[in-house]
Amino acid sequence: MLEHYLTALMTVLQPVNLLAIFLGSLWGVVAGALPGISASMAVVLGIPFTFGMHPVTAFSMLVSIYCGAITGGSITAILFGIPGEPSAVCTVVEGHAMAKQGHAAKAMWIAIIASAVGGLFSVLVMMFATPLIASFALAFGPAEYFALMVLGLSVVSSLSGRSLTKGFLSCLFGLFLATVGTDGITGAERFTFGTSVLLGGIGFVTAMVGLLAASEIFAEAEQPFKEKTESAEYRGLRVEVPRWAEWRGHLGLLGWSSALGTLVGALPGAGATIASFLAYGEASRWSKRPEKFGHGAEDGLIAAEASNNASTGGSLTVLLALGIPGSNTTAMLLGAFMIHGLQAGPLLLVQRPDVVYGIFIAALLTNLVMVLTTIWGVRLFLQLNRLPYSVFASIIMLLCVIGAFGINNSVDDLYVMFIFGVIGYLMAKFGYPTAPAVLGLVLGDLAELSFRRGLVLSQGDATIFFTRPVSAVLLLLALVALSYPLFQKKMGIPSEI
Amino acid sequence: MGRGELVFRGFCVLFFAALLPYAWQLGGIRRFGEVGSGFWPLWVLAFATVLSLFLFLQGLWSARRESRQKAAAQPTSAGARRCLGAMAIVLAYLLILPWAGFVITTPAFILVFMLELGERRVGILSAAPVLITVGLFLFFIKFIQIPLPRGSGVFLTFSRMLY
Repeated sequence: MLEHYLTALMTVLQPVNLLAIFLGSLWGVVAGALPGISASMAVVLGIPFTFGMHPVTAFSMLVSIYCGAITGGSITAILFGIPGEPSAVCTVVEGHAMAKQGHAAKAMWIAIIASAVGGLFSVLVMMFATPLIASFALAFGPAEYFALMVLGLSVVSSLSGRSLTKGFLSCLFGLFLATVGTDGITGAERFTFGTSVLLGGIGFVTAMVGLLAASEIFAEAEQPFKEKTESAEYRGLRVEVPRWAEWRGHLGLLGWSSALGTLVGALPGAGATIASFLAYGEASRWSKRPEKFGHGAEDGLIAAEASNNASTGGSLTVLLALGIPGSNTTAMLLGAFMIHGLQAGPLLLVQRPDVVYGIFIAALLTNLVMVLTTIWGVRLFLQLNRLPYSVFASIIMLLCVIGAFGINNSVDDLYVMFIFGVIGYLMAKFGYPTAPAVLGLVLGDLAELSFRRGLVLSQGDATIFFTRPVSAVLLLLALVALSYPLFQKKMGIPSEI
Repeated sequence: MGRGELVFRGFCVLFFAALLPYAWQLGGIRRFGEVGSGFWPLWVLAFATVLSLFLFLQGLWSARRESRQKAAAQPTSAGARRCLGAMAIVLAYLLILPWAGFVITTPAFILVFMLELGERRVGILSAAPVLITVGLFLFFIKFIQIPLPRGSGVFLTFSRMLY
């Protein structure tokens, strides 16, 4: 294992990979700061740039975009009071309050350092846990894989929207889309309606570019023309450089917020937003000065930022070890693996350790480099913020076009992207979460194959899914996840059903 | 609940229900000892039809209740018109792109798209289309070498002069 780490370190330290990490992180920070560009969209828009790159370079860049985007959300949250990312909502509450009190630089430093610590913690957990989980998962059969897919889809369907029915319907839509094309077992054409375009199935990266990025532009087009937003007074980060003595009292908070973020990030469908809300809630519950929460509490800002960044390592662990994407962003990364001819999951560690260990080292470096890129990112963002949204929208739409076209160099993919852009817009407009559809599309094929292979192994006996211990436990957890929204009202969380 | 959402819910019911017979036909395609090609999609579509029907009926019920309570009028449709316009511009761009090529259509697309989004500053409208197209052309076509559509006929001849 040490040999793999040394090889990966030597690879990642090559100038081209360091440049990829630096640029990826900078783009991630700026994109995360720009309202309307989510972490998943930042990764989607980064994918065309990785065409033709070596996988280690490509994933160094994409992982740094992912981590950078989560951190970048704090910039607009603190300076403008607008969450650049949904996970930065708690940062708005405390960070913007600090900025309004004239402590914008201090709030930025807290966000930067807490993000870096949270990110580093989760990467260390990822480096330790991924090989362990992957070696355990190597023994999984079709029944366990099917149960794992059901768990992932159930959690995403129940957590990603306010209505369980809509979440579940969105998931079924994704599962249906995954059946389009040639059946992997019988070779039969399904739902192709005689067209050769659909024979290979619906390319999920193309569909995701439409669902996640193009749909966002259509939704933004509906809003009135935006002039630039005024920020809180900001005179650079040198004004309030943090001192070690100020941090000593927050080390425990940093530690458990990072641990909570990593754990929540590993749960499919949970991710950075839920991690930051949970950590913020716990921080306010255990704080010695709860009255400060909502008025610029440093503890709240630390908890929110450490946990939302720590969630990235958690979700990457599940992606690399099991091949299960827990969020839109990791689903995009799964798609990027396929574009580069790789299949994320336990076998990847055996077949391409250079890539997996390269990702570990790149993620570690990203969280260190990110301190620097965030400092520069703030300046760059404030410059870019002078540009009108119409310029960004045009660039994003063209990157969607290039990204969709570049996968197969096919014009047909452009129409697929457009159709999914419209579908994604309508889904978002009417409250149907897109994450379950994306995950249904990504996992549907493997879920169906595992289900059918499981039945073949058991000679048609469906009890195989309930009698194998791991499979039974996973299905039980799926049931718990599905019944969670039914208890939402009792827990005070609004629900439509 | 708005009429648009109700129509969307109704469309979902029709979409999933219309595909059910097709999935049923696929049930006949199978290998020995295997559930076949139609089993999985049939269950997925059946569940989806039931759920979408539930949502549609729920929508109908709440729409009736709202009309009884004389709900407030729907918000202005200016945003929806702008959004439809943006969609139409993107679709037109995608349809023209294979015929006229990337280099010719892209600046025109950017200009029209920015106008649709409400941009009226002449400086930005004149500089952005050229700068963005040149930037994308240099990076994606010259550097990464993605063979973006060249067009046909006279447009192809023009594009071939560039890449």
